[in-house]
Amino acid sequence: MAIPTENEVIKDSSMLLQKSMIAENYDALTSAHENGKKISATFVPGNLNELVMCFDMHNNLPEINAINNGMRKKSGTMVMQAEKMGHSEDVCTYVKADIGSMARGNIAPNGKPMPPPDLLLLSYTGCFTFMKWFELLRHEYGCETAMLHVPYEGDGVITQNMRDYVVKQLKENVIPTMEKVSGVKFDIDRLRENLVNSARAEDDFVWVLQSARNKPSPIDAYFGGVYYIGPIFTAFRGTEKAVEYYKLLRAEIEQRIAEGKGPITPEGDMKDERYRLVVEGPPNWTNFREFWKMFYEDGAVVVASTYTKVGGVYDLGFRHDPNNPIETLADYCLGCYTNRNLSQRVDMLEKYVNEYQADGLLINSIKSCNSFSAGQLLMMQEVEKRTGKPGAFIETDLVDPRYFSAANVKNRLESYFQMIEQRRQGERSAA
Amino acid sequence: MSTAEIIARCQALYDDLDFTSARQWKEADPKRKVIGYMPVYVPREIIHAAGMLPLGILGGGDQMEVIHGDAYYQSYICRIPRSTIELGLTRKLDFVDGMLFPSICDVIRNLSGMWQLMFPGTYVRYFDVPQNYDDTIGGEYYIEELKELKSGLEKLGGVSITDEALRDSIAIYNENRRLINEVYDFRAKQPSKAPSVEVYLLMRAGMVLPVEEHNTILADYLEAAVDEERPVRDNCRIVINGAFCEQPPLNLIRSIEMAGCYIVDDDYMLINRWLLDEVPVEGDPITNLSDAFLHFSADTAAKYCDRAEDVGKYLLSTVKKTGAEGVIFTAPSFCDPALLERPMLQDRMDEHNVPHISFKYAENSGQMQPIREQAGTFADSIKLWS
Repeated sequence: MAIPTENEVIKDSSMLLQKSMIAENYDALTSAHENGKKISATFVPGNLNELVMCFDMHNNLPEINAINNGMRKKSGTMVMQAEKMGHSEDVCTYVKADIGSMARGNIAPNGKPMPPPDLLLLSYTGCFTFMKWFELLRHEYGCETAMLHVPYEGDGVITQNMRDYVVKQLKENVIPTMEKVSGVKFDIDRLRENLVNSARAEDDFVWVLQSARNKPSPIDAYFGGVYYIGPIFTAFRGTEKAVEYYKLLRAEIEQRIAEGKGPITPEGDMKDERYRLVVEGPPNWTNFREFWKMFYEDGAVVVASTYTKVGGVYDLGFRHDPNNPIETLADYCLGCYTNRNLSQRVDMLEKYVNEYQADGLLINSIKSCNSFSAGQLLMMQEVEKRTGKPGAFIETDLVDPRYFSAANVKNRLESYFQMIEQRRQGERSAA
Repeated sequence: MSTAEIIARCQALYDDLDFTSARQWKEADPKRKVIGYMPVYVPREIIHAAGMLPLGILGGGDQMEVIHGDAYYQSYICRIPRSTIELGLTRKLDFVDGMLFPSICDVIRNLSGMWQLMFPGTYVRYFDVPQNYDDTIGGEYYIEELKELKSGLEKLGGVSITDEALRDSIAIYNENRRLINEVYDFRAKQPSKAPSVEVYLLMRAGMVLPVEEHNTILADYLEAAVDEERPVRDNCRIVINGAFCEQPPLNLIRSIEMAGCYIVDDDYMLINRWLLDEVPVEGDPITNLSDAFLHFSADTAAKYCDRAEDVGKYLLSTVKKTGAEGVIFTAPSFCDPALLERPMLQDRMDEHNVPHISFKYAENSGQMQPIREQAGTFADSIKLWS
């Protein structure tokens, strides 16, 4: 294997496949109107890709566009542009990156302008900001909006009333609006077929996530999780391509396990697994590679993360069910990670720390994201108490580079790794 | 009773972070229960019909030092959840039997989960309201949610909430809403006779007192204020928007008025005026409460506005109805709903040539000079050029 230069990134074949799929998707999106197709803009948590595909519409995800702009170092100016336009410095930077991007011509990663959406499919799942974000977009685009209100699991359960409410909205509001915008009649069998594909991909996806139980872990379930394991689950869920992708990825990870390899990083295989961590919270995107490097250069691998569950909590058993096509969409939305209450989130983190034999819990608290961040300090205390493993807390932001302080983050991480070492020494002495 | 005496009582209630009056109400009968609620709306009629006291929890204000609460929140989260946690941990809410956390934003939503973890013996409910306003969709969902709340309170109190009791409670709260609207109308007509700090304290009293007592206070104030002679200032008339959750310190309200702006409408403690019309007392009371929420409730950033053309319509109608000359958008720092919605409301005001300014505060903001200068300049600009 050639030694990469500073800017070169080592990639496995799954990553190359994903790259080409994403490029194709952006080409399809930017040429949608020329090809007589409609565009539906929606969010990652609670996204209804299987349903969107039933109407021959393309799915545009503003969060993913913001992430893309963050990783390409473009989001900073977009955020500031939105602030100049009157958007508060206090609110979500995904929103501001989106609005700022719009003001600057809304250029997609392929260099072409992103056409305006024909439908705003507002799946209000687990994040209050979504609701106002799409009101802001409606204010700008003036296009049709379909609202899907997904009630929060305040008591940690999905009641029949919640499920019925979501199902009714899908049947009586969302689907008729999609039919109207697309001009395509809803075909439930088509939805079932898409759901079959989803469930197949979900099986392999879960297998990949759970491969991190191995020592060494063949994947990084946070950085790798969002970089090449999870993103495919948004615009591609329900497609044959996603099924093929996860088959390829699974085979790749099986090979890694057989060879006793750690995860792939931008600088090649991680050699020495020294720390196994569970991470709660979204990553920072503006300094993604620098952030990741702080982990892998110290031998820290993330064995489980919660951010990779905002698009669905499959590892706890959920699968899209083609036999109950509408109900399963409701259950999917209701069960997304950020729609779960704090007790459920703490239970999940505790389970991850124990099942993945982690050394502790690290929280990356995001300034922009109150849905994740409010309550995280208590969650950390609870998980520490229940598992006896140390927790640590760092603060960054999603796509606002002004809130990524590399020196501070690195200091805290190094202190945390030292703390884990000291604990280990203490345990060895006591044994 | 003079307005000064009434307001002195309201001020004492406002200053009392031990909630002595609510404690005394509870101590009067061992069967009594107190249910705390946070902004922006819960159906207090159901709590009242259970024989319980609804108690508004609006944070700790500027008189409480937050020590423990800060340990639970990052610097970029608003202050109301910190001071509410502080109230809980310092046992100032130890007499409260249940807490309701309405659907307003992710911070208050997550606070419900924190409360479940931190105070495991307390009845805690995240009170979700529909963002779909069709009777057969959002309405049916909401009716079931109301029934769940009713059943939870029945279990907690060991009581049965009858339809008759609910109708009586609706009637009492109808009277409360009528009186509150009368106070607001009175202030809008003669703002010099009802200073905003007084109106504010009157409304705050309704957060801690039994509604029957609050009704008496409101009626007494209206009677006394009419005859009271007060200096008339050359102030402009403005509407406050964005302060529906974390409350501003009294000094901020006072400063705005002293800087030359009569507040002729506001969204402080919106729960008092959430339902815009009388709730019918005939028929099924739960359905009536649901209908009122779906079709006759105030507009605020915590709600989804289902029609683009309706964004800002409520605020604009308030401006017109009260003869306001401008809007002050004043939101708590880090308040997602208010700050996300603000640009859309500002655009709507611009379309109708309604002047506006904006600033942020926290419940413990202490430095009023910049706010006074900003509000003063705004008032001057309205007087000179509008």
